[in-house]
This record gives sequence, C-alpha cells and structure tokens, in this order.
Amino acid sequence: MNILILVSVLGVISLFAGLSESLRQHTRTIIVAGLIAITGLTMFTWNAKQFFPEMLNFDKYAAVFTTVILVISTLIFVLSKDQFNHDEIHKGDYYGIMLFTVAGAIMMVSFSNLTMLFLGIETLSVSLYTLAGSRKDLLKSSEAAFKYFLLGAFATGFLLFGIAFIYGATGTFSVSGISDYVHNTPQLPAIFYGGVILIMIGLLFKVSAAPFHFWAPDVYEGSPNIITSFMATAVKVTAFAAFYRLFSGAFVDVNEKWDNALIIAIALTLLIGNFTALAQTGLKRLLAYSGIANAGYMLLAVLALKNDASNALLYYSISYAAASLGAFAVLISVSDDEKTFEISSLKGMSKSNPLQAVLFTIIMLSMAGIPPMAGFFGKYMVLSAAIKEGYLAISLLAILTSLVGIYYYFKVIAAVYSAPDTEVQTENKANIVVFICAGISLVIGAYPDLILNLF
Amino acid sequence: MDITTAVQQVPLNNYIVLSIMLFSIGVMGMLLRRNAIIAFMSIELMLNAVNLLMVAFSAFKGDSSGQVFVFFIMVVAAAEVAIGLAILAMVHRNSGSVDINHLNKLKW
Amino acid sequence: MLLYLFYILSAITVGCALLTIFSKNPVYSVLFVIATFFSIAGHFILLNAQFLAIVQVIVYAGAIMVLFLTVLMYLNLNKSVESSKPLLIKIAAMVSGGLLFLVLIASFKSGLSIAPTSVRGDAGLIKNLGNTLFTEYLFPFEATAVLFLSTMAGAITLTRKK
Repeated sequence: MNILILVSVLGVISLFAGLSESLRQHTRTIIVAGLIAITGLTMFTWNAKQFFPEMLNFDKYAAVFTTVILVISTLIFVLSKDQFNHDEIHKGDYYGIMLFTVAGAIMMVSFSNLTMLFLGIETLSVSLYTLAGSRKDLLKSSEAAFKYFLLGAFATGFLLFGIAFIYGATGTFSVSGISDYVHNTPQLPAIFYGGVILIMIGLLFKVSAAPFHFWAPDVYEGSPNIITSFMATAVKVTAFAAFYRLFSGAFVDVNEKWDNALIIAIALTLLIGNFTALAQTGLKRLLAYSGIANAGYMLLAVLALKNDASNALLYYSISYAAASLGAFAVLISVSDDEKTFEISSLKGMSKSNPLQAVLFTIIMLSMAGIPPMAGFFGKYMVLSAAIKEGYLAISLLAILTSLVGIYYYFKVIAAVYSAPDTEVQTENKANIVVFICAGISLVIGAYPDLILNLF
Repeated sequence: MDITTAVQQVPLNNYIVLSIMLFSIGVMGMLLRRNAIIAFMSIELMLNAVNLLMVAFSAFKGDSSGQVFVFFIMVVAAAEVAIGLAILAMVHRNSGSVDINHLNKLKW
Repeated sequence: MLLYLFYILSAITVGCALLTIFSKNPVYSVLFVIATFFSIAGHFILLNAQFLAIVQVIVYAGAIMVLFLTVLMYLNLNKSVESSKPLLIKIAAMVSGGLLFLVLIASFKSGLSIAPTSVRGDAGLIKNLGNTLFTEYLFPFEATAVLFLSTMAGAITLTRKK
C-alpha cells in the first residue's frame, strides 16, 4: 500500500521534473535513487499495518514479487540512459508512465479482490500501449502499439466476461470469498467453470502463451528496445505472479476442471515457442520467441500450484528475468531501435569486446538451462513440482523442447565467438546491467537457497 | 407490484443468452473487419455485453458490488478509448491509413 | 408486459450490433453502436439500475462515441476504403463467432437456471451504489487516479507533434 503510493508519487515527480530543462537531465538519477529507497522499504516493512486488506493484501508473496519487480525496474532505468533522447521534451513523461506501469504491476501481485486485479492489469496495459508507441517517428513502433492495444483490449474483454460469470455464480469479487464458495458448495454451477476458462483465456493472452501468443513477436520487434526489455522481464514476471495468485487463491480446489485446458496451452506454447525460435535470424525476434517458450515453463508452475509451487515460480522468474534483461542489455549496447539486429551481426564480439562476450555467454547458458547457471535450477524446480503433481507427459515434453532450446541459444553463442565478416564497430564497454545480470545468474545458480529461503 | 418482482419478470437466463449473443457479435466483428475503428467498436460491444451481464447478476442477487464493478469497467473503457484513438491518430499520421491490412511492416 | 419490452429491446440491441459490424461506412457503424448503447441503457432501466443507465448514456453514447466520431471526421475516414478480406477468412470469422456463441450457450445450458436470491431490488439506486462505492470500494476508486494520470500523459505525449 505505502509502496504503491510511493511509486505513484515518484511517477508524478517525474512528470513534473520533465517540465524544466535543467531538472530533466537528472530525472533518471532521481528515479533510480527513489526506486532503490522504495525497494529497501519493501523488504523491511512488508509486515506493516494494512489499510485495505480486502482489496490489496500485502502478504509475503506480494512483498517478494514486488521486490523482484522493483529491482528489475531499477535496472531498466539504469539501462535507459540515452534511450529517450529522440524525444527530449517528453523524457519525463515516458519515465513517469513507466513508473505508473510499475504501480499497476504492484496492484497485480498484491490484489485480494478481482476489482484490483482488473484495475492493475489495465493500469499496466494502458501505460504499456503508450510506451510501445513511444518512437513516434517510426512506423513500426506505432504499429506495435496499435497491435498491442487492439489485442490487449480484446483479451480484457474475455477476462471481464469470465469475471462476470464468476460473479454470477458466487456473488462476490473477493478472492477469499470465491474460495469459500468453492469449499462450501457441493455442486458448482456450470457458469462457474465457464468463468474460470474465460478468465484463463484472458490471462493466457496477457502472458503471451500459445495459442494466444501471435501478438508478442510483432510487438516485441516493433517497440523500442528499452520498452521491449521492460515487457519481456518486469511485465512478464508480473503477469505470471498475478496468474498464480489468482488461481492458487480462488480456483485451487477445482483444478481438475481446468488443468487439461492449461496442459494443452502449455504443450502448444512449448512447441511453438521453441520451434519457431529455431528459424529466427533477428536477435530481438529470437528473444521474443524464447520469451514465449519460457512462458511455457512458467505455466508449469501454475499447473502444479496444488502443492505450493510459488517457490519454483519465484526462482524461475528471477533466473529468467536476469538472463533476459542481460540479453536485452547487450542488444541495447550494440544496436538502436531503427533497424533489425541480425544474430550474424554479433560476429566478432569476442574480439572487439571480450568482457561483454564472456558475460553474454554466461547469460545465454543460463537461458539454455546449462548447470551451474540459474536457468538450469529454475527448469529443474518447475519440472520437479509438475512431476510431483503427476503431470508426467507434459513434463517430458518440456524436457525435450528445452533440448531444442539449447540449439538456438548455442547458435547465438557461436556467432559471438566466430570471426567477423567485416570490421565491426561496437562500443568497447560492457554495460553495468549486463554485469549485474550475469552475476545474478551465476550467484543464485550456485546458491539457490538465497531465493528459496525467502518464503 | 413491488420492484423486486418487477425485475424478476424477465428470467435471468434471457439476460445471459442476450449478453452471450452480444459478446459473440463483438468477437465476430473483431475477427471480420479490417477497419481499425470498427474492430475497436467491436471491442466496445464486448465490454457492453459484460456490463449487461454483470448488472443482470447484480440485480438478481440484490448486491450492488456488481454495479460498482460495471462503473469501473466504464471508467477503464473511457481511458482505453482515449489512448486507443491517440494511437490510431499516430498510426494514421505515420502511414496514412487505418486499414489493418496496410499495417504489414510487422507480419500479422 | 415487461417480458415483451425485454424482447423488443433485445431485438433492437442485437440488430443494431449486427448492423455495426456489417456496415460498410464507419460513420453508420458509429451510429448503430450508439443505438446499441441506448438499448442497453433501456435494459439497465428494466433491471432497475437507474444510475448506470444514465451513466451508460452519458459516458458511452455521449463521451466515447463522440470521441470516435471526432476522430473519424478529423482523420477524414468517413469513406469506406477498406481492403476486403478473402472470402475464406470472412467465413472462418463468422463460423468462429457462431461457434463461440454455441459453445458458451451449450456449456451453460445445465447451469443457466441459478435460483434468484434477491433480497432487495434496489441494488441499483444511487444511494446504495454510493454506499458501496465509497466504503467497500473506496480504494479501487482512488486507484483509478493512477490509470487516468497515465492515460492523460500518454495521450498527450503520443498525439503531440514534434
């Protein structure tokens, strides 16, 4: 609650700071400092007095995921230096809107009423539509914003229709109220199950799982790099945290009714994500498809929620977000928003920028799930959670498709270490964010307990 | 005749069927039309189907929270329309068209 | 009596909704969608949700659709220049829309008869609505401020020329 207010206030400060030319230069510094302070506050005050517990329940789950989101956002603000220079006057606005997105994300991970889930999703999405179109001079950015908007609103329609049916059956919007209703009603009406499936469709759209993934590669490709990195990390983690929170809070007792639908979605997501990624030549598109494939693994944690898989989800989210953010940080350091960056353009990086090449390799190995990187343990944990619940076939499919994944991640690594076709000019400095992300991938891979003891 | 019995003269099922119908029309329009404005209006139809359904449930349960939720849906729909039309204007400025088929810089 | 009124209103609602998505000219679509919204406001009155009926007319028909019309006129889109889709895709869209309808109806057939548990029919009066909104739902009401601020900043940022 306090955290939500502080983040929103920081957003307002950023909007106003954008008005004056001299303050505008320091907005980013102010925001980074503010976010670090808020992150510290989150970790120490999560148990404080709650003001509207029936709307936002800031429990441990919410506090942990809020911390993760705030850390990722801080890193993205660090990374965003010079990223909005094309539109100097509106710099403060873009930063402010990014902070409002974070505020929406905090609502989404701490809701205890469907009203707040809905408002959180909308605050997050509406801000993201703007951000996706923030390169006003580029047609592809406007198109990405437009496509994201149209399909996002479409998904919201399904989500709301589902919520309406749940309300019709239970008469309440509160998550605990729905859970009580499920407990106390021997014969649930059909509209309840219909509502669950419709909500699931809406949320699968938002997390870009197949068969509702088709918007994701285009939107990722067209949006400015910094926004894509935001969508692929913070927003994705948020969407999964909300998905898990809703289904474990309200629908856990009827999971035999929806798990088959989810299994089909996971199977499609894994197959489409991994096999389409094989054919990609652009780095950003490859990362988009790898994001879809990773959504499949994270959905396994949602599938296994009966036996509390929140640990596995948290660990996977952190390892995925670290690896993905690192990869985007490399992409940002070598390319701009205007043209597509081919994987083959990475050639010669090991010569021109050996440190970055090594860090990038660590990140890619973590993504591919090679021990001792964090990505390996993340996959291991979600898979063991799913197997413990008896979902053997889908776990086997997940293992097989992750082998496919190894191939395309190694294609990227191979490009980094091969000789350049022409003389490449890259800036000869490794970004601090790449460094931090590679560090996280290594450290939590070596000491998984650092994360697992949080719950 | 008191108000409760008056409301219940129309069975709840009729409202459910009507809103499912309206929702399906919205989905159909979204899939059918390439004109962005009409696709956009189809989404508004879907949201209105939700509103109708929620008000019907709320009235039949005698619980005002459903109608408060509808209020929030309207608020959000207004915000979404504002941002959506801003994006549409921007696309039109950049490409001179709002036909989804012309937006093929990105593959559909 | 009320049942007949319901059927008449429903016929208008569905008819206008269909005309919205099949009109060639976007301006006609906007007008039909306004008619749909008015008939839904009529349904709200039938359900004794008076406040929402008024808000529906003011917000949807008044604000949202006027915004649509303004953009249509401003961008000069009132001519129907729309590349037509292949017939196959059109049929597929119709079939999937129809299927969605059938699937939803069929899956709810058994559960459609939930017993009405109405204790009071005045849930939609302004007094009760205001009570709920400003006590139980006070926090979401405040939280929409963030959404609006973000929307405002976004819309201005996007439409402003360099």
